Amino acid sequence: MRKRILPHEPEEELLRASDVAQDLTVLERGLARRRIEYEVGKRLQVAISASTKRLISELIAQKVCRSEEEVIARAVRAFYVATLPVIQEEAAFQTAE
Amino acid sequence: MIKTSGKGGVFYQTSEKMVAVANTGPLISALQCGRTELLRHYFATIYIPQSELAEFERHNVKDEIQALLDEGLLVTQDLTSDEQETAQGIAKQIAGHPLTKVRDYQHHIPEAEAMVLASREELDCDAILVEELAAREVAQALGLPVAGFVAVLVKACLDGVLTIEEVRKALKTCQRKGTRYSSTFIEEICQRYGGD
Repeated sequence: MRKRILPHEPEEELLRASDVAQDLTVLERGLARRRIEYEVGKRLQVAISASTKRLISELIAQKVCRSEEEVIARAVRAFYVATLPVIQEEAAFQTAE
Repeated sequence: MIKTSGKGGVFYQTSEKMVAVANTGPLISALQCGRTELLRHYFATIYIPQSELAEFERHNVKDEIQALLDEGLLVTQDLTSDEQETAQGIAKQIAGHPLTKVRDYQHHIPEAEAMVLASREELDCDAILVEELAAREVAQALGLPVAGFVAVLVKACLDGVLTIEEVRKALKTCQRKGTRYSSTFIEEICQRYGGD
């Protein structure tokens, strides 16, 4: 026996043909936005060279990190801690001069 | 595009597909006409409020929805108590709208909750899928980008994924199964987007 799916909101008025045109604009805008974000994302991924990728894989293989995400997060944090205090100290020194 | 995940990790966007929040109606239409593959085609994730699950059960599609949850296309979200309060206010707005025939605001809680979810900045939604006129107008007044399942069918037709005959067949199947797409509406859609 075929399963019967009960209709939704049988007593409510549904959208009109003119609404569909507006809906299409929403979908097309959403897809266009995601396409741009994806393209930008792809370029960011390409920016990681093969040698860097090997280092990332090695860190995961040696169980230093569990995933690429963790390697990136820890590396950025380490770089931030290593460089920003120096930059901030230099800026403070220059201001004092 | 690098995005921060809910757990604070970092990942790259790996899809060109959209993120949406759906009310029950558009998902039921997709199930009625057997076109859930179009949802997969255009959406990476579709969020639904947890409260909609009971409604899906009432509509006899519990297993189908569970399958979509299991594959990860659908993701349920709980609302905070503040959000539930906001949803109650929105449900009252829908119940008081001149285009609705259902004046009991409790009946409109699921679509109101969907609107609250769609407003969540962290979900970064491209659209809220809803097809009842009153709820659509309230969502638009809230500044939400509204779309319906019919537009998904039409988009698929414009993209060459479906023929206009397949769109007509899908809409007629939904109509036959009780969804209130009128015959005039279906023909208007087919003429407008199929050129016949």
